[in-house]
Amino acid sequence: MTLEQFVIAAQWIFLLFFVALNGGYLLLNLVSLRSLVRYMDVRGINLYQDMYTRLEPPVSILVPAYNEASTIAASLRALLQLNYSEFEIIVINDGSKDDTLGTLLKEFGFEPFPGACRVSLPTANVRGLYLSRHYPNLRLVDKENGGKADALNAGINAARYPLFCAVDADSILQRDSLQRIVKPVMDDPSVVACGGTIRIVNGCQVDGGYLVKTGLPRSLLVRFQLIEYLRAFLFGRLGWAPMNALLIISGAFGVFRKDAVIDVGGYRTDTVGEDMELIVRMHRLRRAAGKPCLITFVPDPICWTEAPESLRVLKTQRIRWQRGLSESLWMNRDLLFHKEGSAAGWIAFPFMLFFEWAAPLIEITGYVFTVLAYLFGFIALEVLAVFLFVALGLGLLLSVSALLLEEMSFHVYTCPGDTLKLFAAAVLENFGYRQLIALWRLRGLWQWFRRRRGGWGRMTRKGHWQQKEGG
Amino acid sequence: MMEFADSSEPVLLFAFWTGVAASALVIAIAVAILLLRYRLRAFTRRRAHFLAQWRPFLAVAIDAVPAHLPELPDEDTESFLILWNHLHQSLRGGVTENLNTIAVRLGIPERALEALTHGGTRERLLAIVTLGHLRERRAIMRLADLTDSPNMTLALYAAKALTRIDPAEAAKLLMPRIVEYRDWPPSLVSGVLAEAGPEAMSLALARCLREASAAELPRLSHLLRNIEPVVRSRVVRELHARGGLDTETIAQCLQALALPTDAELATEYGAHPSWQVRVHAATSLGRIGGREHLDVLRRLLTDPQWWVRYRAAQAIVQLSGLTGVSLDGFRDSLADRYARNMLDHVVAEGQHA
Repeated sequence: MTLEQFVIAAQWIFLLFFVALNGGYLLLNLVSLRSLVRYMDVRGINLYQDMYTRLEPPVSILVPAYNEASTIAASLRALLQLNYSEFEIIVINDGSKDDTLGTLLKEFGFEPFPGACRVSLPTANVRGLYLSRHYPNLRLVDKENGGKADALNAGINAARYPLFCAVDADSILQRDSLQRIVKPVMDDPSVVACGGTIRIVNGCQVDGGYLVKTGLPRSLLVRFQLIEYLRAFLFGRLGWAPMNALLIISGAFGVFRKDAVIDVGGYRTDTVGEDMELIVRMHRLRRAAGKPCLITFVPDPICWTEAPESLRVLKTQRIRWQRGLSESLWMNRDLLFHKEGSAAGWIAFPFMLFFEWAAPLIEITGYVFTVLAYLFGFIALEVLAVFLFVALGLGLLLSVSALLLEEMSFHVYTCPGDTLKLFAAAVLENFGYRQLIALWRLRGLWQWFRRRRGGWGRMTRKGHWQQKEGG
Repeated sequence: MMEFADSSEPVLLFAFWTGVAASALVIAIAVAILLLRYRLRAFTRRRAHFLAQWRPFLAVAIDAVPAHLPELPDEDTESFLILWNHLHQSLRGGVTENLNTIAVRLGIPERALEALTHGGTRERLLAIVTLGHLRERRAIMRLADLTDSPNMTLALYAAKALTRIDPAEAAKLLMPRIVEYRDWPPSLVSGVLAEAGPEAMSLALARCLREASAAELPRLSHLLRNIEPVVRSRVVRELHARGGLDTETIAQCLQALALPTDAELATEYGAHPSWQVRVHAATSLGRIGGREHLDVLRRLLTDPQWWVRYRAAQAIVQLSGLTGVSLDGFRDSLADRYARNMLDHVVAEGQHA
């Protein structure tokens, strides 16, 4: 092969990869459009009460907490006000080094409880169980530090109900969030897990732990993340659900059948992507055993979380996510093209492998190769320009198609100028932000490859939304 | 300088035209977004205007229907039905009759019947629920047809509307469908039948369960709770006498027991090999048992399965309140440490409740 042939072949490979990557996501958007239209048909006509009230199965809400002293009280008070017929809240203090335990004991009147321990899943040592004097459906598990996955397993051990809902301590729900996320489970008893859509709370107004008014974040960095959430985490996932090929439910908010999770061994504690790893493992093990494995998704914006506002924290997050993705896929690689794998093993897994796991490597290599080829004179300036044009054009197309789906469905941001601002963010994110994210993901890939245990890093919680409540 | 790729290369042409197509689509989407936003604003303004007029009006009118009603243009029918049905679900008693009077005077039954036949999914769902609240008999046959819809949501709402309009007719129409449509979730079917009340459904359900095959019983046994207690007890005994029941059916039967005379049946299942059955046996004894069943519960309190011990402890606490048995004395008589721990656990839960 001559150098010329090599350069041209490389150009084809990178071009086709970009087209396939963006084309794949556009296809997912089209699939999600169909589900969305059917969903929006009945949404908003408020018929839930007519059919589902008094039939809801009881739910255990698990809230793992590590160093959440400044926010845990407000979070729990909000959860206690959820509209749902029967639920309990189990907060798991995972060996916090700050005053999380003290805050909980003081604010909720927790008293030691001679609980008969049930250990379905092994966890780090549980130091004590507490019941709240003021709220009979609120319990506290105090344990030694073992990580989020370990805390969730301890919560599962303590849960009394057949369904559990894993919620991050800083997640902001809506009063009917639990009703909405449990509905698919009621509609079909073979559903073993259901995920909720996570939206960004930065820029929104929160009162009493509930969202009262949406608003666009001021920070351009957070607006970029908002576009990204719409593109990849909302409509991308909604496209997988009809095929029953969803490989991730966010740890911020998801509901699970407890027996199904215990059956596969609970959350793994040796991965930073425990939320995705559990879902992929459920697909792998349950399908291999011929058990029902319907995993679905509610597109309603029912859970809000704070996005990083600094590059440093965002970098840590994205490196961790890529490591988590790598670990989840590697640990469950048997699902790839498994004969019982169905769409999860034959479509979603390979898609994740090529267009999520390998994407940062191919993308960065493509950019670097094209620029170097120009600098060394192998390609003309116009060639460089065309490749950048198509890369940016396809990226922009994907982002605005997510904006279109959002406009057709939930149109969460209602102020007149919001649409233009979001559109501007969708354009600008292609000039540096996406490339930076790709670089960090590449680093996450490298870390996984070298098997470095980077841990969670530190998320600096600003809690702006708390200020109105706390005064 | 060696330039290997110039503007005539196929790869360049492909890239260029892909970029052009993507850009054109971006512009088209941007225009579509603006149009959608404009339409949303118009809709939001109209909806706000409607609510500003009708919400206060209905709040007063449900107490005493006024002689003159505002006009209801066709474009506002959906908004009206959403508000009207919400009020129907929230209120009880005579005021719902006033709501129905208002709806009839506005021509809502005719609009709903029209939507039932010619509307989209959203219009039909609203129409179904509305006609159910109105108890509109003209809709019965069309609703019966809709219970055969492959759209489960439409089918179940139609079934519920039928039970509201004519429970006896609904029992006849729905029973064969309940048996046939395996995708209808048992909990939602139970909710639909509950609308009619046990008196209307009991005999039809009892017959359905008696005739059910072994394959159908696990699903249909969930409907035992919709049968009134005396008939239910007879059905459960007949099923028990049949023998060879699967775990799910036994569990549902045990959950359905409501008469003290059925406690012996629960006792028999206290030694079942499946822990899921023993759990429900314990729960049943707590509900319908008496002092004479404490020994069975004592044995279940030492069961190797945590959940069986937990429910047995709960049952013992419940019965101690009814029978006057001293819990402290009972606890002290337990030789098994795990049994004592479990009883302490349940007592502590009760103290915090």
